[in-house]
Amino acid sequence: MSNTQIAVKDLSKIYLMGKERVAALKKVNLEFEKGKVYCIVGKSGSGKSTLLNMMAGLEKPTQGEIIYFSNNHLEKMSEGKLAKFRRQNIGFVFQSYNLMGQLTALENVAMPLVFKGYSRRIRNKAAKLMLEQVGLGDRIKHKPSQMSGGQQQRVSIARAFVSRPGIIFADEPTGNLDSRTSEEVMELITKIAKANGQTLVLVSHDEETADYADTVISFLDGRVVDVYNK
Amino acid sequence: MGSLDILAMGARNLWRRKVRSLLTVLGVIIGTAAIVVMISLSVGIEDALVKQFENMGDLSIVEVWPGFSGNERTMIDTEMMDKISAIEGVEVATPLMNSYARIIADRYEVTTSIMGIKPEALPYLGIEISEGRLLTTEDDLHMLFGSQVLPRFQIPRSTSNMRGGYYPDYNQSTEPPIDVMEVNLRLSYDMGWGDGNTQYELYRAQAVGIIGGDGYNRYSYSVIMPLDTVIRLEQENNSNNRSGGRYEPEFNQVMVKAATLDDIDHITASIQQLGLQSHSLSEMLEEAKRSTEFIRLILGGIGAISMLVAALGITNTMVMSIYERTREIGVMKVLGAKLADIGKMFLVESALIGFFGGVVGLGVSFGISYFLNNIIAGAGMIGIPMQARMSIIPPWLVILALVFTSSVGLIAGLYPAIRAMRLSALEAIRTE
Repeated sequence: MSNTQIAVKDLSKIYLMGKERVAALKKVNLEFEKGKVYCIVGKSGSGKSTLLNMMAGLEKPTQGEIIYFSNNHLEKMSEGKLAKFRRQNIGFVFQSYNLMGQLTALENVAMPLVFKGYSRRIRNKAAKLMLEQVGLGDRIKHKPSQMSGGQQQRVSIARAFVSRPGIIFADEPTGNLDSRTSEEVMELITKIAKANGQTLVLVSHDEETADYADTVISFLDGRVVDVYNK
Repeated sequence: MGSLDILAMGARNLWRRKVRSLLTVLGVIIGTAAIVVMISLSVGIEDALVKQFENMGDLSIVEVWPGFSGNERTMIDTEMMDKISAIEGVEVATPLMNSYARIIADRYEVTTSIMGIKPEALPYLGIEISEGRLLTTEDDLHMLFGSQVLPRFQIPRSTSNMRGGYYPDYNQSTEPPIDVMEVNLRLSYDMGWGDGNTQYELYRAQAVGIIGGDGYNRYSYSVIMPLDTVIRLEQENNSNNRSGGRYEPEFNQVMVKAATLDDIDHITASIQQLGLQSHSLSEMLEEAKRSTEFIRLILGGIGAISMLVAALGITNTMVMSIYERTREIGVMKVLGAKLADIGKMFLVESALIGFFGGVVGLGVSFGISYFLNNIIAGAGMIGIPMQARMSIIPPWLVILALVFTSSVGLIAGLYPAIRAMRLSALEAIRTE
């Protein structure tokens, strides 16, 4: 039985820059297996972030298919369906954390559970547990502005994992962090994903990040040039 | 997303921009107060109008006369009376049947108009009793004296003929010479101008009450007796009727009491269909009300303009708030927020602005209303009747204002909410 969780088939994306057509992705074919850590590496503009955004349903492909669990075609879903799909299956970690400035760490982490309609009691309990897991049990009442970059990224990781999604996407999660903090964050994120059997798809231009992956996918000019397992 | 969460989030977001939110709410407060106070003024005008009409008589009474159309004349006979009484919504209908007779009390007597009215209709005719009681259905030769009849009792062929005229002599005392409630009364149709051959019966009668009230009304110069009694007296005493076989009474005026004010319209229509003429204070009041409706429209329109400006203020605030929160909206979308929830969050915010503005605006309106009624009107700066209030805020206006301001808030937030929903999540999170 195939363990494939996400299949990307002949995926292309063409942007219109003024009158010029720029191909960001050219017929990309990839498969992602459940519970593994993937790292997509490549230079800026190689198309790696475009792939991640399309796999997370944030962008529509020009051509090709993105198939989840062998029968959910992302490219055919409406905005509303995509939102529901993300809510149920996907966690997201941003480069710039994207926490809500006016909310506490606890409230930020609980946010995805708010959208899922859980009661305040249940979501606060889950968020607190998650914050303890990322080592911020003593910071739950802090606002993002009262925390360091590494702490903020850990809050954002807690937010991505709190609703126990099957897949986590992380777009340059260490891009704004120094190397020591980067290591801590990478260790944390891969540890939690592995522990829960969640698939983790990272995008990075940082070679060191690739050390944490099971599979490294190399991008150049919108094409996959190399896929290797560690 | 739970409704409470959406509400809490909306309130929180408003609180984040306190000054801006307060200024927007202030706009709604002014708009609400403008509309409510303006409309309250028109309600005050209408109320004064209704009070004025109520002083003139009962609004639920329709007066009916025989109809004329070309050479045709539609009379009101007993058959027609039955038709009138049968109209739906008519509580009671009575003719005002005029007759004329002599009343003798001791040495005194008076020749006066007798009015036959159904006793059951008397309570509705606005007759005030200063002494005794109204007539009841058991009464027969019983009399209700108009106050202006009493002073005209005089000793027949006495020298004090000055008091013998139909109208009392205002230069002299109008104190009645006798107390009709105490003495035995006789009633006769012999006016003393007959052929002398006809024998008129002398009836024993009794006074049951005296019509009081200040000033004069249509009953002041009459003695009211039960309708059936008057018809019988006419049949027994009118020589024309005696020789001409069966006497059929005809009435020149009928009073119709409607069960409710809502019945007036179709009662009036039915009466006119019967070919009769009608008139009611209600009809006049309706006409007067129509003109106040126009005033209300103008005053409400002036208030509505400030409400419109307030609504634009809400939209402006919400659009600005979307610009500020673009990134936030994007993140929420990436985290899987329902489009509807994002729309609702913004709608709740604008509706809250509308609702709070409405509530406080109503408070301000009551304050202004109190000021108008007690300070300005109380000081007699404007010539309005004492018992009438200048500005009235009825409960329906309170509810209307709250529903209206909340709806204005919702509508004003509609465009920003749709904008927020349409925002591309990717574009939004890229915004710095």
